[in-house]
Amino acid sequence: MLLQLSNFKINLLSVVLIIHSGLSHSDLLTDIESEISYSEPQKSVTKSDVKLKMEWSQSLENGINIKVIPQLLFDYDSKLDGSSLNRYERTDNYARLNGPAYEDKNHRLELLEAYGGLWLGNTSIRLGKQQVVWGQADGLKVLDVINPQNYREFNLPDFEDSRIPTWMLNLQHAIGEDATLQLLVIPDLTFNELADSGSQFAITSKEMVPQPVPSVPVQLVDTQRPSNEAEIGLRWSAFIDGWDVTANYFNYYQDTPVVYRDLIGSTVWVTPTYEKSQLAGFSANTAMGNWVWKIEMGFIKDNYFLQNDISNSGIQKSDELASVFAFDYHGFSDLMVSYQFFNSTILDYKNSVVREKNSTKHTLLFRKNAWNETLELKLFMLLNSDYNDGQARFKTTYKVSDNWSVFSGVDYFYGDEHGPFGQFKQASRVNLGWQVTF
Amino acid sequence: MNDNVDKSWKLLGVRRPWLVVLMGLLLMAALMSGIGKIYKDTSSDAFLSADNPALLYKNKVREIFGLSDPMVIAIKDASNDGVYNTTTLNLVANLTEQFNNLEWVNAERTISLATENNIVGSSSGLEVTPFMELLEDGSPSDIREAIQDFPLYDGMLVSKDGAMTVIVLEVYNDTMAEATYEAVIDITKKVSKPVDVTFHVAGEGAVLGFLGHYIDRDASRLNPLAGLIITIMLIVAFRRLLPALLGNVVIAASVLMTVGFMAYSGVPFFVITNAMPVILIGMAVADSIHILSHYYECQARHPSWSLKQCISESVNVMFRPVTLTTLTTIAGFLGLYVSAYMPPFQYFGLFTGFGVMVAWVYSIFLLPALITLMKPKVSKRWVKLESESKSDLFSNVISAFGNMATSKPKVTVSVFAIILVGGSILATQLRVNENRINTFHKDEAIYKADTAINAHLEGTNIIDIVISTPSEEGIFEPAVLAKMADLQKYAESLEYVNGSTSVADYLMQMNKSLNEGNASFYSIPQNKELVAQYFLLYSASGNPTDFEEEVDYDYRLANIRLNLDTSEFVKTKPIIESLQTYIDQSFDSELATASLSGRVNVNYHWIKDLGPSHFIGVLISLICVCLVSAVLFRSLSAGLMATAPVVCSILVVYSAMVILNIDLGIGTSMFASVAIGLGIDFAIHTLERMKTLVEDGTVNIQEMFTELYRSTGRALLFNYLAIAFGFGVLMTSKVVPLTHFGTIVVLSVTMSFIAAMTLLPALVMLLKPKFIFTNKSHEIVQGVSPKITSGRAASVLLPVMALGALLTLGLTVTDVQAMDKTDALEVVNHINSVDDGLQVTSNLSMLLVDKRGKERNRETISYRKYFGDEKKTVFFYTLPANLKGTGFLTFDYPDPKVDDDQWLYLPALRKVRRISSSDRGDYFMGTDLTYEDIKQSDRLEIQDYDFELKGKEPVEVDNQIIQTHVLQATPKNKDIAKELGYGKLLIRVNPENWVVVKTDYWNPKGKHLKTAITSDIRKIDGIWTRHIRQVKNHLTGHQSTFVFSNVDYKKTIPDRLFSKRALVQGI
Repeated sequence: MLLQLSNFKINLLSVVLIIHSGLSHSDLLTDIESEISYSEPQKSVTKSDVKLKMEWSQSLENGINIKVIPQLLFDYDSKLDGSSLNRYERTDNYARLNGPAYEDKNHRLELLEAYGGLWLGNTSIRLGKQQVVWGQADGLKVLDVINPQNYREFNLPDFEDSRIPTWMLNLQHAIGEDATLQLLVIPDLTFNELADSGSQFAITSKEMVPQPVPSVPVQLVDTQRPSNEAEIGLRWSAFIDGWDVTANYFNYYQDTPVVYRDLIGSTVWVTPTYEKSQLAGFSANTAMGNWVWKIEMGFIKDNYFLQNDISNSGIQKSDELASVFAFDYHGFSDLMVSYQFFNSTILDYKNSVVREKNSTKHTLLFRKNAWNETLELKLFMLLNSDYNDGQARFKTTYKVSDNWSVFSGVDYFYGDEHGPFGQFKQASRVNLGWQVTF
Repeated sequence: MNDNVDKSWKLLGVRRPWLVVLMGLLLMAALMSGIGKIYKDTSSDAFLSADNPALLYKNKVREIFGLSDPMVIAIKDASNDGVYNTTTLNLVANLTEQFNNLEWVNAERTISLATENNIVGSSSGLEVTPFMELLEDGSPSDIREAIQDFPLYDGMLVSKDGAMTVIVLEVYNDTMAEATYEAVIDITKKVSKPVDVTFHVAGEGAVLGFLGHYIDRDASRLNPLAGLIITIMLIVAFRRLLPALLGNVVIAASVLMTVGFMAYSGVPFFVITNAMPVILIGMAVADSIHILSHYYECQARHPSWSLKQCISESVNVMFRPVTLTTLTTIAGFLGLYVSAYMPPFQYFGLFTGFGVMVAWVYSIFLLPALITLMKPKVSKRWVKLESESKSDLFSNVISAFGNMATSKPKVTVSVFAIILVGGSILATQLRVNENRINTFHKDEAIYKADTAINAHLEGTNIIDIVISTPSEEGIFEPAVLAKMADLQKYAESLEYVNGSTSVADYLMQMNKSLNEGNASFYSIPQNKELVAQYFLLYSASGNPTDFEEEVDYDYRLANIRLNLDTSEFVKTKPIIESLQTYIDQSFDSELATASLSGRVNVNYHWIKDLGPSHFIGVLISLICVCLVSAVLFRSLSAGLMATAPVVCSILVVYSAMVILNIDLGIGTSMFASVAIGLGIDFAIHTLERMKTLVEDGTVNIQEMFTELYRSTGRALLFNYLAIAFGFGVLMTSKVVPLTHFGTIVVLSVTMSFIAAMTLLPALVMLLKPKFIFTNKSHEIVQGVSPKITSGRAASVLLPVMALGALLTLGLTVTDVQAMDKTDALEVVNHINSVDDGLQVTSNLSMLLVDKRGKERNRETISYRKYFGDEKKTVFFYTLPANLKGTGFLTFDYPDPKVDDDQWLYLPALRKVRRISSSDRGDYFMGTDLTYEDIKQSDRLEIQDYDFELKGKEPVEVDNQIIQTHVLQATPKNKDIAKELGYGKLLIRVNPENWVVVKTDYWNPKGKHLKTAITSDIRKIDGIWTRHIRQVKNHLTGHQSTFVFSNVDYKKTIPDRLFSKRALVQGI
C-alpha cells in the first residue's frame, strides 16, 4: 500500500510541476463514459461502471507540449473482479512507477498518460508515460507489443482503452521527406494485467494456463520479475512509391509470464517468470483503388509455449513467425469492409506443445456510417481456426449531439470451450452505454 | 516416361498443386466478390449506344415534354354498360389515386378518366371540368356522352365500344420501373372490383418493369438446370463422380469470375446476358472433358504409369489443341464484339470471350492441380476395354459414323456442297424482325394484356413527332396547326396507327365547344389571336400545365403522339418510312419542321441495321477464325478447311430459320458468332489430332481415322453433347428470343460437329493437305516434342494476341463528335488557374444542420502547401471534444491517373489508418461536400466532365449582383457519374475573378441534389479567398456551412506537418 501511494505522489508531483512551469495555452477535456452489460448465460448484470477521464494538454512557449490523462473508474456490482482478494497482492505485473494510484473493489484511480514532448529540428522527443502502437492489424497482435494490455475484460474493450501506457523515452528522427527513425527506451517493465481468477474473464483455456493434475499437490512460487533493465525498440518507417513500410526491432520482456512446472518430490512447483525475447518484423500497406492492402510480419526469437507434460519444465522454447495479411475495401458508399488473416507458426514444434503448430485466425469487420456520420454501425467477427471458436461483436453508436453519444451492442463468444475464445461463452453479453465529452 | 515431372510452365499445376489451387481460389474469390455489385439494364435504350442520334433525340423530347414510356393499366368491364357504370368509374378514380400515391409515379402525367378534363363552351367562355365531376352531378351516361363527343379521347382513353378504359402512368426514372410495376400489380390484386371487371397491365413501361423480374426468374431456373445436365453427362462419360465435380469447379470459375468481372467493369446485366452463364457452362467444361479424357485413357493404356505421369502427359498432349480452340473461340466472340453496334452484344462477345479464357486457365492449371491432389482413378470397365483393345459404346457409335463418311469421301463432300448451295439460296429469304412483346412467352399475363389492350384501344406503342417552329408562339399559327392536323390525319390513315394526340385536337375541341358543340366546328381556329385566346380561356378554368405533354412552355415546339397497336418491326418499318417521307415533303418550309421520335422510332433505328450488322459480324468472325486457324497451323488451306464446317453449319441454320419461320432478331442474330466460336473447336481438334497422329508415325490413313474416332472422336462427342445440352437448356427458357437462340445454336453446333467428323476427314482423304502430311514436322516433333510444342504455342500466341489487341484498339476509337467546346474549356481553364497560394493556413469551422434543425459544429485548423506539383493538405480537428486530435492528411498528385494518398488519424485508435482515395463521391466527415469536392475546392477535372456554356445569369454575392457565366459540367460517362455521385453540375462563375460563386448539383438519376453558395469573397495577401460556403442538400434537407477564418498565405508552415508522425503528435 505504501508503495502504491508513493507512486501516486510522484505522479501528482509531476502534474503540479508541469502546471507551474509557465503556461501559455492550456486545454482540458473531460470524458465521462458509462456502460452496463447484461449476460444472458449468467442471467445477471456483469458490468456496471462509470469512467471519468480528464485530458489536460498544455503548450508551453518554449515549444514543449504536455499531456496528462488521469482516470477514475467507479465500478458497481461488477462481476469483472474475482473475489475480495486484495488486488495489490496480485498486481505483480506493474513496475514500481506504474499501476493504479489507488484501488479498492469499486474504485480505481490511475494516471493513464503523462508526457511532455518537443521538436528539436527534425527530431521529436516525447518523454513520459505513453502508448506507442506499432503495426497495422486491428485486434490482432504481431508488432503491437510495445505496451502491455489489460485483460480484465479480455479483448472486448478497444485496444487503445486496454493498452497499459508505460514510462518511456520516444525519439523520432525524420530522415529526408518521407522516412522516420524511431527509438524507444522503456525502463518501465510493466506487463499484462490478467483477469482475476474466478472472475468471468479469468483465463482457463489449456493453451494459456497449465491444467492442474488431480491429486498432485501444487506449490505456487511468486512471479519472477526481471531485475532493472530496459526494453529497447527501433523502427524505421518510410513512404516509398505509394507504400507505407516499416521495419521494426524490439528487445523486450514477454508481457505474460512463462509458467514453469517442476516436479520436486511429489509436488509440482509452479514458477511464473517473465522471459526475454526479441522481435524483428516489418509492415507495409498501400491503397489501390478501393482497396487498402496491409501486411505485417514478425519473427520472435525465443517464445515460450506450454506443453501437455512437464518435461523440460513444461515449456517448449521456440522461435515463432507470425503474420497478418489484410485488406480494407472502401468500394461501398460509407461502408468499410476489412478482412484479416492471421497466422503464427511455431518453428521448433514438438507434439507435446498444447498449441497447434500453425495457429490461424480470420477477422472480418464491417463499419457503416449513416445520417451524416451521426450513426455508426460496427460488426467485428473473429474465427479462430485452431478450435473453431471465436467471437462476434456488434456495436451501434448514435451521436446525439457534438458532446453526447449513446451506444449499445452485443459481445458474443462461440465455439469449443477449450479455445481461447470459446472459454468465455458464458461471458457473452449485451451492452448499453452513453458517453459525454466536454 | 519417368516420374520427374518436367519443368515446363504448363505443368505448374502438377508440380505445385497447392500453390495453384490456392492462387486459383484466391483469384476466383477476388473477382467473385464483385457479383453483388452487378446491376440490371433491361431497357430497349440499352441496345443503342448512348450517343446514337435517335436515342439522344428521344431523350431530348422526353426532357422537353416530360414524356416517357408509359405503363398502361386497362380496366375492362364485360357488363352491358361497359365501363360506364358508377362502380367501375369509381374504381378507376380509386385506382388512379392509389397509383398516383406511388413514390415514383409522376402524378402530373397520369392520364385516366379521373384526371382528364372535359372541355365545353359556356357563357363565360370555356368550361374545363374533370370528367368525373359529371358523375357527381349526373350519371355515368353523361360521361359516355362527353367522351363520345370528344374525338381525342374516344378510342384513346375509353374504347369506342365502352368496354375498356385505361390509366396511363409514367415513372420519373426508368430504374424504378420494376418496383413500380410490382406495386401496380399489387394494387390491382388487392383492390375490390366487380366480377365483370378485369385488369391488364402492359406498355413499354410495364415491359421494362417486368423484364428484370422475368429474367431473374428465368436465370434462376436455367443455370442450375444447365449445371445439372452437364454434371450428369460427365458422370456418364467417366463413370465417376469426381470428374463431374472437377468439371464443375472450372464451370464455377468461368461463370462466376466473368459475372464478377462484369460487375467490376460497371457493365450491366442486359436481357441477353442471361444466356451467357448457360453458354459458359457448356463451353467451360469442354476443355476439362478433353484433359480428363486423355488422363483416363492414359491410365487405362499405361497401367504402370503413376497418376502424376498420366496427368503430366495429358496436359502436355492436350495443351496445344485446348489452347488453339480457346483462341479460336475467343476470336469468334471478339468478332461479335467488333461487329456488333449494340452495347449488349458487344459486351456479350467481350465477356463470354473472357469467360472462355478463364476456363482455359483453370482447365490447364487448376484442373491438373486438383487431379494431382485428388488422384481420380479410371473405371475398371475402361481399363478392361482398353486392355482388350475394345472401344466403348460411344467410341463405336462415332467410329461407325466416321467410317461411313470416309469410305466414300466424294459422296460426303458432294452432300455438303449441296447443303452449301441450298443454304445460300435460302439464306437470302431470311427476314429481319423484332417485337419486344414477343420477348415474353405467350402465356404471360403481360403478353395477354398487350394483346387485349391493342385489340380494344388505340394501342400501347408510341411514335412521337416533334413539330418545331422558329419563333415563340409559332405553334399558334393556324397554318402550323393545320399542317399538324393534316399530318395526324395522314398518320391515322396508315395501317396499325389507331389514334393520335396533339394540341390541335384540344384546340379543335375548344373551337367546337365555343360554338355550341356544333360538330362542324371541330376544326382549327382561323387566326393566331383566336388560338392564343383559347389557351387563355382554357387557363381560366383548367390547369395551365395540362398541355405540358403537347407543347413546350413558350409554344415553340409541339408534340404529336401516335398510338400503334403493334411494335413489330416489319409492320412499323413502313409506317416510320412513310411518315418520314411525308414530313420531308410537307414540313420543309420555314414555318415548321418535324422530327420523328418515340419508342417505335428508336426501335426502328436499331433494328433496321440488325441485318447488315449481323452479316458483317458473321463475315468478320469467319475471317477471324479462319486467320487464327491459318496462323495456328501455319497454312492457309488449314484455315479454310477448319472454317468449312462452320460455314456449313451457319448456312444450315439460316435455312432452318427460313423453314421454321424464325426471324432474325435480337436473340437470334447473335447465334452466328457463338456458333462460329464453338463450331471451330471441333474442326481444330480433328485437324490437330490427325496432324499429331501423322507426326507420331501413323502412316496408314485408315489407321489414322480409326484412332481419331476412337479417342478424339469420343471426347468430341462428349464435348458436343455438353454444348448441345448446355444450349439445349436455353430452349426451355421463358424468354422467347433465348428459346430461339438456344434452338439454333444447338442446330449449328450439331452441324459443325457432324461436318468436323465427316467432311474434314473426307477432305483430308481427297486433298492430302501438306499441313498434315509433312515429313519435316514428323522429324521435328518426334525429336524434342514438349519443348517445341510449347515454343510453337508461344509463337502462335503472339500474333493472335496482337490481333486481339488490334481489334480492341479499333473498338475504343469511338466517334468523337467535333463539338466546339473551346469557350467552355477556356472558362474551365480560368477557374482552374485561380491562384490559391503556394501555401495557406486557415481555421475552418463547419456547422452541420439536419432537417430538424439540430446543429453540430466542427472546428479544424488546416494547412496546405505545394511541394512542386504535389499538393499536400492536412487538417486537425480542435472541436468537438470527441473529435479533437483527429487528423486527415492527403497527398494530391498532379497526374490525375495516380490516386491520391490519404491517411486518417483517430486519436482513440492511436493509429494512423491508410484510407482509400477512390471513394471520391463519399461524403467528407458527415458534411454535404464529398471528398472530391473538398479536394478540388471548385476546380474542375477536365478528365471527368464535358463542359458547355449555358449563357449568363445574375447571382447575388455579398450584396452585389454579378452577371455570372453559367457553365454546365456533365460527367463523361455513367461510371464517372456514379463515382462522383453527380449527373450534372451547373456552375456560376464570376468572370471578373473566375471564382465560382454558386453551383447546383444533380445526382446521376437527374434529381436536384444540392446547391453550394460561396460568399464573403475578398482578397487576402492579394489572393481571392472564399470565406463562407453554404451547401444545402435538397434530398436530405441537411445543410453544411463552411467558414474559413484566419486565412494566411504567408505564415511559414513546417514541412514536417505533412507527415504521419505529425498526425500522431498533433499540432
